[in-house]
Amino acid sequence: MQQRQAVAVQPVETETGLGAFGARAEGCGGPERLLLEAARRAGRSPQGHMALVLHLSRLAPPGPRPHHRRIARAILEDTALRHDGQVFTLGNGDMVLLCGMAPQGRPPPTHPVHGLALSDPAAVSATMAALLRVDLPDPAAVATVWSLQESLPALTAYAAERVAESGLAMVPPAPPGAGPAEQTVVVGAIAAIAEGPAVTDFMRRQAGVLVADRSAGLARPPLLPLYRELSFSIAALEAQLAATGQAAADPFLFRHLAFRLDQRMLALLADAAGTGGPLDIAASGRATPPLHINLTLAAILSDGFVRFVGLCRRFGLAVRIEVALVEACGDAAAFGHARGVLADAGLPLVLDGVSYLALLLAQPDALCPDLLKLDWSPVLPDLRSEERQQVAAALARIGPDRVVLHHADTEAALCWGMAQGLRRFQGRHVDAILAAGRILACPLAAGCTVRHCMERAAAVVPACAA
Amino acid sequence: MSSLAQRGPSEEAQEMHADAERLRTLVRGCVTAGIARQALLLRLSRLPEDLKRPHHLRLARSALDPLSFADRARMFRLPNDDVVMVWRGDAPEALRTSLDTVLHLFADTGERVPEPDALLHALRLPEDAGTLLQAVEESLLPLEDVDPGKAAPVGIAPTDPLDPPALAALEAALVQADVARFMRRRQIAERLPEGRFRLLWEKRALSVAEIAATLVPDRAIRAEPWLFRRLTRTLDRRMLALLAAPQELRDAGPFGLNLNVASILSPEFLRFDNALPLVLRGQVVIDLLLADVVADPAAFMFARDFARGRGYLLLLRGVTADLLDAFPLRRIGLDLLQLRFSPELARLDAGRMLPDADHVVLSRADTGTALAWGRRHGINLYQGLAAVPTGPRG
Repeated sequence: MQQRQAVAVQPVETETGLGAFGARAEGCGGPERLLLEAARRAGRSPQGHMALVLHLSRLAPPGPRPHHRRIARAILEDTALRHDGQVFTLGNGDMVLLCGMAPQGRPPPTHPVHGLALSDPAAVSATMAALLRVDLPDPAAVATVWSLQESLPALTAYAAERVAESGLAMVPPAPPGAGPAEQTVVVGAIAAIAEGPAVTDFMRRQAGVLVADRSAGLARPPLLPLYRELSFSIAALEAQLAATGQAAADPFLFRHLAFRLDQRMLALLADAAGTGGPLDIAASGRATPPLHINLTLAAILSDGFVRFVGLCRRFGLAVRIEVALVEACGDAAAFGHARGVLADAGLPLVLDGVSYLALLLAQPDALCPDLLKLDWSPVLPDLRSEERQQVAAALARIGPDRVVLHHADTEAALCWGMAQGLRRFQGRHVDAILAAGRILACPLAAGCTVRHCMERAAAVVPACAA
Repeated sequence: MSSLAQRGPSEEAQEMHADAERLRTLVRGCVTAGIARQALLLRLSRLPEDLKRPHHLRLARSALDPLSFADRARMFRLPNDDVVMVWRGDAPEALRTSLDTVLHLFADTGERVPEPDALLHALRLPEDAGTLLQAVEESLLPLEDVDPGKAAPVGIAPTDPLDPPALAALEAALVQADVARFMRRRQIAERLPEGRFRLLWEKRALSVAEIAATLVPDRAIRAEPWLFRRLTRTLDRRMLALLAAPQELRDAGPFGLNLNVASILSPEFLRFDNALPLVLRGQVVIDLLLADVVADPAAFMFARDFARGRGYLLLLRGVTADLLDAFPLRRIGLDLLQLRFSPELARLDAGRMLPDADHVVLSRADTGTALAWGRRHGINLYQGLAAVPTGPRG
């Protein structure tokens, strides 16, 4: 949502001035065609000119985010202004700067206004590589710089390729109704659903598992259930409102929504305990793995939680409470109180929502959780060596036995985690393996797919399991 | 003061109006002739009614007695019960004693009393003439004409929390609202070896409490902390737009801003950055909140490197004693850390070394106790009523 929000307020990204290359950078004809024409014109006197292609199209989703485009555009335009150039924003997301080269032997800038390497167009690629290193770790992939005198054909070929592609819609426009005001409306609407009886349709459960090591022997199943997490599916709630991606995109609005949903979750579980219904967390008995519930600090400090803890004691339930890292940082005093409440109730604390970037920026283990859930990112196997070492050091400090690799939705996630010594996983890839095992053992599985089996396992109320 | 107390109500009111006129004349004279004076504005009108009884006011006024011995000291009682003391030259000890006494008076009254920096303003003339003249004008207004955001007794707090529809309405109202008058400044000062404080930069911020009291007086604006955080983004953009206005920063000295990560990456910031005078480049401090950093670390790292490349200094706030170990300043890659003084912070093990103490700003340094704690931990940068700068800007 942040992306869409920013798009809504972004200044119109069209060139109005005429650059040294004699054409408007964007306008009728499309930027790709105008780039091609400008490249051909530049070929008449290529000496002292250069081209820089900023490959924003190479950023993995959700990139390039609007702020990537906005800041990149500002930097390129500033450079163009200083070096008699112009900027082209292409349909695939790439940006191209055509400009004069910095004179040789110019002294380095003396003022920090030039800190972003605006004094030398050739240095812009290094600047952008530094800014984008989280989103595109390989600095060589961020930009290509061509001297027009030596590499004009390369630029012309690149522009021709973009022209050829330009008939295709490569960067989908932001969907309507995704601005900040609409996000607030969506969050309000989901909160309203949470107050109604149909909210149970959106409850889901997911297993966390332990991958058995080789010494366990062949007779032991490879995945041992560790816990079952109960939550509301935000994706399903968004789908209900045809507002995919809007509720969870603004982290602050989402935290507010999480509190509203938590209150409902605690009330529903408390009301159902001991009834034998689908939401009766006591029905499956003490032999089942512990239950994980993710709560906001406000929910942990509410009367509803006191009631919930009483039920856990009454039925002898093993429960762990997950708290998002951002919650802990939002109100340290409340986090301290909540930790005290959990300790008094004998409930372990699980720190959730820890990205690998959080491991680079902070030491979340200093918050002393019993378990830490690290979010999987496809970037993890490709980190630069320094960052890879930092992540490895952080995992060693925390202890692999206290880490769950969360959102392990792909085989790559499991492979990376196991290579780091992690054995605890939660995610859709785990769900698929478990479902495959169930299908093999189930006498009624004829015609079932893995996906169907996963959906049935995730559903909490019978209506979803049908 | 004592003679005033013995007069009749109407005579006393006349004398207060006369005081307001005298203060206005004095302030204008300082501006016209460039005369330097120090001033302390004690906004007793902001107290809730049950703390504004005659004996409360009398005690609060007498707390300023130490300042009455300063050179050319004059006290002015304004018609709305606000008090202004004006004097010549530096009187740091007397000022600190007076501030400590006032805060001590209301120490046990909890949240019903306004924040210290809403109750007490240490000012300098002629620079802060506008603030004093505004206080005079407010004090002369009939009660019903006073801006409710400023006149509402702090003790009567709205109880309905902000919810998404109210937030959306407030954000829409903010687009058109004139928020310039809600701009407030706080001074960050460096403690010099001789004990004086030197101004380093002024933090500029919109008073959210006053804006909310004006636009949504029936809502408790901070009761839903995450919706409040979201609201600050909208306010950031208004603030940046204000600062980007022509001439706004022409005579500005070094200053600081609270901003969200998303705001640094907004079109409004780019316009502000373009409007920033060259002389201020490298002189602007951006304060970032820890929760905002953690909420979107990728955007934070991008914004951090971009802002630093443009010459901004970056400060991390929202870190408490409990979070110090989890969020080392150097690891986050920011320049300064703001710690808010509190009883909890004061209980931090005295023998424990504060990491990067020379990069720490101790805020809410309103008392001698806070200063002493800061000194003990090697802190030199302060914001608060006990750290009023008296010398030339650093």
